[in-house]
Amino acid sequence: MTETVCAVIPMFNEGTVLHGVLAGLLPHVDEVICIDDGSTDGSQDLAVRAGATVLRHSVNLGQGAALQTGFDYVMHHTTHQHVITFDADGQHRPEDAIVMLNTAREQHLDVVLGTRIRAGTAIPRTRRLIQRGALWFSRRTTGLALTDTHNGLRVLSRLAVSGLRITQPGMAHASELEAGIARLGLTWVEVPVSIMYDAYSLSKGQSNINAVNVVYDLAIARLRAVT
Amino acid sequence: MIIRMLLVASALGILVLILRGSGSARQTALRRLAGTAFTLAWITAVLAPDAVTRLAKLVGVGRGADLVLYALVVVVLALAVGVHQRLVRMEERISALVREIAIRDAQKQTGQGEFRAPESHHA
Repeated sequence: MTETVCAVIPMFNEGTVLHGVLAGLLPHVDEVICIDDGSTDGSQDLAVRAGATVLRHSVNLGQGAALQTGFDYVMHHTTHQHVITFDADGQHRPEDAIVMLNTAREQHLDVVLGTRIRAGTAIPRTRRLIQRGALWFSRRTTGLALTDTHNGLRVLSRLAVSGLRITQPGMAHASELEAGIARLGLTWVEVPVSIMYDAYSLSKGQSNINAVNVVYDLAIARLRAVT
Repeated sequence: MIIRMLLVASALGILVLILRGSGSARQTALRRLAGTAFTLAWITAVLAPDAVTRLAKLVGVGRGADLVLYALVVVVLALAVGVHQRLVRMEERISALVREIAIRDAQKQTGQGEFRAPESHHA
């Protein structure tokens, strides 16, 4: 029986770029599962017509919750052996996802994480400063020595997906996943990827002030974990 | 002074509430007991203000009114924490519900999608 792979894409009002994203990704994986997190621009129909499986949240819950919905669907309704988490805003490249998938398969890894840290990748300066702060904090809190802690491009084995659980609905879910990887002792590696920053995706990206919320959510979760 | 110890103890108590997190019958019962105790204390304070002043002096507070104020701050904080936690729990329940609906109503194109034919790998 051949091992199959799916991509899980949380999306919220990405109608303008979604078509291109799906065009690039659908030919390379066995199934694309889009989780429409309460979009109001009709992008779910676009995704269905393109050939994706669409799960729709009737209200917006957040990217973390959307990912977990995708994971639940994969575990209970499919037999895919690997899951690629992929952003809907056009920042990720399908080529990178395939390289990461091959790495996971060839080296029998549970988790492959994309990292932006590599010579020659262009990151806007203000965002890089914020990232450094988040990097230091996450290394201290999640226990995972990562060079890039908020990269949405990942490959997870079915085993990893079955053991991980996202309870933070918002943007703190990335760190929650990392803490879960460390806690479960999953095998992992980082692979350099290129993030395509353009005006559209930058405008949709996390506002820097949201780092406050991420830090707070993680601190509370960490406190709970030790009591 | 005693009042300081009491206030610090109450702050730590609220911290424990925060860390303990989600509700249970026990927390509801504790909340009800605290609510009842506070109501009785308030009625006593209104009907016998001298008693409050005596109590205040006992714990090292100048005036009865000040003691009432301190107690009020503690109660308000505890209430705020309780409300916040109930909201968080409610969000979790909503999420579970929305997720179940999303998975149950999964949509796929029958036949060929624009970019590839969806193959079935479904259990």
